[in-house]
Amino acid sequence: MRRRRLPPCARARPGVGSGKTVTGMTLRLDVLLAILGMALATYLCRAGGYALFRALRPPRFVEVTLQHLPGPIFVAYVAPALAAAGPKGFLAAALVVATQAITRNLAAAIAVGVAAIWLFGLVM
Amino acid sequence: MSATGVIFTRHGVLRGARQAIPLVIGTFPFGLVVGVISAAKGLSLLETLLMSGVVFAGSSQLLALELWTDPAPIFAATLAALVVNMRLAPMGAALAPWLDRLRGIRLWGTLATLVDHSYALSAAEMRRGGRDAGYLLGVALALWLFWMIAVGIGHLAGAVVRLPPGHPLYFAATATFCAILVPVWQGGRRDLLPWMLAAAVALGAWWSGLGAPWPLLAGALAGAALGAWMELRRA
Repeated sequence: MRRRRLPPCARARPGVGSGKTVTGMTLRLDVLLAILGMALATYLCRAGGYALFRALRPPRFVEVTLQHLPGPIFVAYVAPALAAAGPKGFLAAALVVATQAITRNLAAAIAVGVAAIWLFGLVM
Repeated sequence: MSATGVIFTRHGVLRGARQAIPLVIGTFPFGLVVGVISAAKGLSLLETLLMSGVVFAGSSQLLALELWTDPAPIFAATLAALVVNMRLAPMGAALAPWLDRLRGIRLWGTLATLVDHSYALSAAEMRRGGRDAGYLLGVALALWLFWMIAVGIGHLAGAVVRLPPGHPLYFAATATFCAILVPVWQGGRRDLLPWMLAAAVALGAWWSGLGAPWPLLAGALAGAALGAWMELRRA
């Protein structure tokens, strides 16, 4: 239950799941459609937000909710991921947060997190 | 902050690009992580660079990659991008004093490059009385260029290493989001309860067996709504 949700093939080496070899220049239709979907959704947020907010004043509640969105997004992502990793995940996450708070250096925080989960994996 | 006399010049673009360089120190490791995870998820270099080039929003890319399956999760990835990037919607509106003076490709093209950093620097520039809207595009273009380089290097490194499932490097994605939470935190009175609700709802949805992106969606919206409700009640 360590890495939930994904079928084994999704974590396998490049190309194994799809049954064909993936080279540097491979472009599969399903991947392309997912990328275009993401690009469209993102442009909708970037440009649609400007257009919509200019055309009509959104309700105050919507505006304030959008301002509050970033924190809950990352928390809602991190919580299940850490729960799946177990106690060592939460410990490593605490070290990441402490490193980021002290050093203000994203690279250092990520490195500490990866090193911590590796070390805990050896002893826990 | 006057809306009159807004211009859009090459000089402004270059000035924005120069001032964005220090920010690359922060975005480069993020790009490396996106590249490594893309390789591990089986995306080709072309697919990885295409995604980074046209989506150009790191956290949504990383989240989508975390939900990645084979075949590609078209609906889940699109929905994840929509939710994560919703925060960009009010940024364009906040830059209206500049954007309202632009037309055509300058307006809609510049909007296509809008990211947190280019918004933040441009909002500060606008407050200082800056009138050159090219600045906004310049910041974003510099970040975009180094983003592509970082993701490309990360992908090449990841393809060489060929991470087995459960490798500690996969934790880099989760660690990145944990670290991002630090500067987002604005104090317990504002954030503690909304963040706790977001975690609780996401965990509840996850434990009840809901697949991606629903735990993320439910947790994020519940937390943000509680935060807004609390703020409006205080006001």
